[in-house]
Amino acid sequence: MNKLAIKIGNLTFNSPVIAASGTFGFGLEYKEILNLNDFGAIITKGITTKRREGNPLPRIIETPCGLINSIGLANPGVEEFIKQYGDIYKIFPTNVIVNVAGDNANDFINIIKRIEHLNVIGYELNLSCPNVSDGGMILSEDPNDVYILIKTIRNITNKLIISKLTPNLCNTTELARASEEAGCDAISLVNTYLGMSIDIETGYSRIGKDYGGYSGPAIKPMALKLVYDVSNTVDIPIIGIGGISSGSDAIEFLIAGASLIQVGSIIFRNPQIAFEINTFIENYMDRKSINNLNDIIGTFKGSI
Amino acid sequence: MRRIKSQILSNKRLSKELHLITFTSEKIEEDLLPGNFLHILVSSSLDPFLRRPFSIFDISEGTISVLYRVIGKGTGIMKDLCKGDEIDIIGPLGNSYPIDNSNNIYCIAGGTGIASIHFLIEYIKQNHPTKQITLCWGTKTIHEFILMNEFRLISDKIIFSTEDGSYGNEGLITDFLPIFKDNSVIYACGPDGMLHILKKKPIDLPMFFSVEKRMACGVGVCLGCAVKMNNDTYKYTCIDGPVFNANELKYE
Repeated sequence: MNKLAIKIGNLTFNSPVIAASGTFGFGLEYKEILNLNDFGAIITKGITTKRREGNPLPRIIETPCGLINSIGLANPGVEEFIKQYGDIYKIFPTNVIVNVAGDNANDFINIIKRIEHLNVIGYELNLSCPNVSDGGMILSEDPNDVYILIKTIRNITNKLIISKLTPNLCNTTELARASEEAGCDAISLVNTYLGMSIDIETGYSRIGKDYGGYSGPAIKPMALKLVYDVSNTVDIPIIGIGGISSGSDAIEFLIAGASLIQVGSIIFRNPQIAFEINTFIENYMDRKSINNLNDIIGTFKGSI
Repeated sequence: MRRIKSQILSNKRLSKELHLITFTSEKIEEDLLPGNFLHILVSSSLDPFLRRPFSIFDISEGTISVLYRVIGKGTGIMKDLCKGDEIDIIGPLGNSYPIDNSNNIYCIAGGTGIASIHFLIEYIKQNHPTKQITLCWGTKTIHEFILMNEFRLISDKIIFSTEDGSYGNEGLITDFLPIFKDNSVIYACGPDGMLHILKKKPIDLPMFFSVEKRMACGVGVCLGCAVKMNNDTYKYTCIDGPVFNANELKYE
């Protein structure tokens, strides 16, 4: 029995570690230097109905313990995605989840209908891309809109539906509750924080837009707090994201209430991070005589 | 592509800002071609967070050398690494300079662009010894002409320029290019400004640029290192480059 295995509904994840959308391409890019089955799942780059070229340059800037990105959902579009990866996902070493992005409910529905036949276990709905005006962000601001969108998607698929939420609004817990009520299977949070970086010599932004999405270890404490808040609000599983860079970070998120976690920016630095986190959690469980990952999840004890 | 832990063998300061670091390569050097780059993590600290892409200056059996300019946090840490210290390397990454049948090779290097040009010239000399190599090398000032004797040995002709006039021609190297012979190819590596000027020149020869962009992943997943193409689409320095046909690139 794999001690790290965790279930959502009837789906098994061999590890609680998932590769976050936008940091793992379509799953093959790193295959020469890591074992894909170290991940419980991989989540694709966000897919839109049509090809998107992405945002103006430059698109990334490093900041202390993190980076700001302004990629702008560059992706080949759903048809090219199916052509390029449909067959590859028929035999893939781990679960594949497709991140879906769109301007409106129709986009989400059209994409999901087109890819429903692929061998993927579900969809992560990108309700929170900070880098495009039409990236689902507008859809995601109002819990009613989120409810209607997810309810509509629930009617067309039995696969896993994950709602990916932004940390940049003050109603994250309400959005999570609306997602749950609409029949969502899990919540993933957080997407990137909005951030800026200014060149003081020129006065211009150091990325191609005025602001971008801020990620990396620097955001971890804020993300952890939000995961904790949302896990106290909904009963469906939480997939914790935000600056996780070590096994110990991952366990913090589990204790705060996440059932699974995603690693993102850290992959750029350490592609073998999933293996390292798995090993760390196994050792931790041995040391604490814990046999089931569920016995860690949500065990936060508060302050002494 | 492999990921290795590498030991520093030497780390020398060659000029005020330029350093040459040599490290063990675990046979990665056997797969390296001129133009390829390595993605190097210089510190176990989370700040700086990202790896740094470096082109190759030189290889020999079991070792790789990288020429770098100390400009920020990453290279600031790098310059203090000592013999025996460990760095974490992913590579080889990226494409390489395409070598065709041309007899005459013109290499145009600006600043630290000389790094990948050095490896390219060495490679051509070794594998295509009959080709004639002209190096056009521009820097800000005389001190940046490092290892000049070695360059004189491997190049058939060198044109120098410095922006301050302290050595060679005074001005930008793009103002002192030779008359190109037929049956030639041009390889250029240097700052965007230099490449932009080259691209605007009425040169009717195959011309390849190795470009430098900020990078996060180095393998084509983050899509951060985009470069604009003539048709307003983007390609990515890490997987489509760093070497591009100059005709493809758009400079605005």
